[in-house]
Amino acid sequence: MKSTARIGGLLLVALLAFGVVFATAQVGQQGRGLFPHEKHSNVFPLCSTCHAGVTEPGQSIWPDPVRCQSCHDGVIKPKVTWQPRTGPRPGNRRFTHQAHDVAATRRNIADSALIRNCSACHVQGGAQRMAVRNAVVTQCLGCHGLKAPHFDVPSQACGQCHVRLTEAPGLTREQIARFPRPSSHDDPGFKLGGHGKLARVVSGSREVGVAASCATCHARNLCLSCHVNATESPVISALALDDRSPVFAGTQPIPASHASAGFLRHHGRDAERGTASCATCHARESCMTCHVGSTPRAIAALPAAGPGRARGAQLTRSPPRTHTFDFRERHGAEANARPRSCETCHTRPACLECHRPDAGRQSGYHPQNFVTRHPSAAYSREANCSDCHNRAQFCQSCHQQSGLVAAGRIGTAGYHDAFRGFTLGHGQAARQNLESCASCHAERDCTACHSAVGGGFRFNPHGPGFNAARMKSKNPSLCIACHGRTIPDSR
Amino acid sequence: MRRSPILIFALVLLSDGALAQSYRARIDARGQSAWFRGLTADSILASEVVTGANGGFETPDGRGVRCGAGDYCYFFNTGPALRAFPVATSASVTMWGFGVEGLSFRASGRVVTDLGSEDVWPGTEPSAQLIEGLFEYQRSAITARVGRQLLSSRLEAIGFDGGWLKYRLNRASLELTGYGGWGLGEAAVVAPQSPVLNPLDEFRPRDRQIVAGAEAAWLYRDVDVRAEYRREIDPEDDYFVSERAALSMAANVRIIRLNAGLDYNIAEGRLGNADVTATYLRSRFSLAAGARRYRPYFSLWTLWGAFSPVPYNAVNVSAQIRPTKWLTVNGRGETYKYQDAEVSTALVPQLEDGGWRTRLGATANLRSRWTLDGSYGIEHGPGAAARSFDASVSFSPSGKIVLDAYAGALSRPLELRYYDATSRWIGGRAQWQRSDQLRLWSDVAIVSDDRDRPDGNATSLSQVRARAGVSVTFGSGADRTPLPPARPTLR
Repeated sequence: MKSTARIGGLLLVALLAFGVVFATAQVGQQGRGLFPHEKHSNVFPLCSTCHAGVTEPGQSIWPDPVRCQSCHDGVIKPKVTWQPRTGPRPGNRRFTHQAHDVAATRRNIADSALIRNCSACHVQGGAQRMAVRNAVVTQCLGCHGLKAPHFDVPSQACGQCHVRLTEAPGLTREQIARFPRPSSHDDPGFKLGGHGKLARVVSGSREVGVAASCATCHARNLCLSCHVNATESPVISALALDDRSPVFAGTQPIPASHASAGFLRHHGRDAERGTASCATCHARESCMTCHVGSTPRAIAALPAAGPGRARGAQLTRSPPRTHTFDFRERHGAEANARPRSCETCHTRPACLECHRPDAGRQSGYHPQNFVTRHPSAAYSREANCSDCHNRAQFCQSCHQQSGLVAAGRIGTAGYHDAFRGFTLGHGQAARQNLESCASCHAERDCTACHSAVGGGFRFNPHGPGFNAARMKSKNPSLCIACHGRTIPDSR
Repeated sequence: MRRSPILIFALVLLSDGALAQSYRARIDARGQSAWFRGLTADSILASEVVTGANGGFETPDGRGVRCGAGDYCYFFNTGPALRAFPVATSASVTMWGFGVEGLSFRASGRVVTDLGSEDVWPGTEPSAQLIEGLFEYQRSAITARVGRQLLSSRLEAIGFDGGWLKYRLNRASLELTGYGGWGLGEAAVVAPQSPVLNPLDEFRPRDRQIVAGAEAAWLYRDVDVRAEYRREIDPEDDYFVSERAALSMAANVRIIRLNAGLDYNIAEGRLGNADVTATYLRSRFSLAAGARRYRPYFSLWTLWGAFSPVPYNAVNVSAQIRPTKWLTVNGRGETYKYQDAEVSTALVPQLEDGGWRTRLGATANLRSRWTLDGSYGIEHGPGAAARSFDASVSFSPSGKIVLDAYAGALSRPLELRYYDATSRWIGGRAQWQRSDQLRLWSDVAIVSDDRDRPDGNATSLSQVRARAGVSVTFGSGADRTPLPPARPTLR
């Protein structure tokens, strides 16, 4: 008894399940409006019975629902609730049977019967007459001599069958997002430059419009999401705006040229020649991330960022590869030879901060505690101190405050006490590090012995390479200081 | 006379709204406190001198003395503590939109003072300093400047009050520049005869020198060549203060960057500085090798040039390697040797006539917020040697706040004086970039600094150093501040 009840229960569940699946399938078919042509193959020997409008202008292309009810009256056959479609035409096909007939006949009179041969377009080759479907695209392409797959046909061919996306109001945002992707879009160079070349329609050397292949699936909204100069581009402007068009959600690819070793140096020169390609991705503000100094002409020619424009490439200011860890010590040579290169990213105050430092500033150039470190760097002039510091104002005044300058007769105090014979043997140190001497000593400390006048001991201070005649010709007062008015003719 | 720069600067700041449509200004205020202790020259009766443990003469309390034939022996005693608190407020302003296209005005100046117990810090006089204040006219091929300006050059940056004109011949890739005016002191913002540039009462001219120069640059593809000529004339007697010429070159040969240059002292008939560096740059590493020659330059109104300073010749190499994305290792080394000073003093030993320096370091960027940096350096040369270690940790919880901690140690013996320094320091720095227009920072360091001597004059300069600053940018287009201090970042 129990087992009978169990079997009965299972059957009931199975029936219910079958019913649900069947009903869903029916509702689905009705919902999608797909008429089961094959089921009616014996009922309708002629397509024109239902689709008279195809061949007869003024007639509807759809059958009258009342005629369906002659069988589907709920007695003979179940009732159907089908109604012919109203509202905008779905899809983006440009095609109408009448227009196609006129065009085909005009081209080849032999094709005048084509309009009555529905299977030629609506039945896959080899299938039964009523195995109809929407136009079999391969057959459309075949008749039109297009051998490539549907989505890879030449650009102009798209417009032959399809209207622009913006002219296809029946398409929903979701349908557009599901558009298949042509294989051209997978080319490595498509994102960069490649798509632009395909999109351009030119007349002579002028860009006059956009390719039909782009306009079939895209609106300007897509271009606006990347192209900073979209509004200036005649190609992009040829597309209309349409909010149903998806925007570009990927990352903007960086052109290979931007990774080349000389790009940083050459990009300005290239931009001077023309900013059209730069403006694709860069707004003026993008360049000014780095170019904080004077604005080059090429940057001024770029569109300014603002509403209605893509944000463009957002750059992060970072030092170029040349600015290695010790560039601070070596930048002088580069700056002297190529000042314009520096002026690109640096303004004058940035140079002045170090080259004319103020007293309250913590040095950005020298390492921590440089006051204690400086003797070893200063003696041998690891860098030229005079690039930033006046020897008298900086070295002498600080040494004076510290009591390090020579205050009396040389040789009395004994500052150089680690070298007992320094007074006698100072010549080498002096010629090697004369700037260090001059940071504590005035010239009179030296002329006390090295002068030929005023009680000097006439010790000759002139060393290798001294050109007395030249210096005398340039500034004899220099000679007079030690030799008086009687300047010797030569060394 | 001293007020004129202040008046010009004030006029410029106050009149910007009335004259210019757009302006950008930046004000920095900073101060630091430090103290140091120098030496005081002292003497003692020769009869009171005692013989120390090492056989030398000392004062009874153990300070080494230097005795001659007179009644007195001389020595340096430890000087008083000198406390400095230099405070500086600097401003730079750029204005444009005067109704003449291409015309702009730029000025940089500062007010500085020492709030310490004595006016000991260098560079705090005069209290108002105009570094630059010039009108610039930039139009197509011409750039002209009139006013106080700083000219960057291989012949050392020079400030002058006068005019500067550059003409670009783009077709020939040439730039021709000429300038002239009344010069400022070397690396100074005041005239050379100013008392602040003469603390030791040296020889100085009575009038400002007249500066004139010309420059020709050939900028062709990857090669920049620049030739300069500059002369300074004393208007009192029309004698030369200096006459020099220089050549700079920068070139890119495939992936090698080449920088070279030299200057020639025409007035003395001697080659001055020269350098050549070749840099091989790759994304993961860079290698630079170079040679340089350094010879100090002195104006002809000092006698120092007549003492025939000799140059040193150096070769150097530096490398930077990035073995992983987060780690950078770098190193630098240089060895140098002075040319023969041609000094013969048989009774005293030779001093050091060459040296070397090397530094190895590493930087690690961890999770983009942490940066660890460390380096170790050794140098040995005439006058002084040093061994030092530096380490720092930087933490940036957001782009607006940067916290640094740093520490280091230094050992620095001198060649000519017993005053070996051993220094250790630890400190922290905080920076808050409150907005694009406002940046605040402060820095505190504890320094342990001992100066060792074999006699009783050893001393300590241990102290706490504090610094703070604020930087404000404003104006009609104040949308960006200059670069904050450079920080190592991932590339």
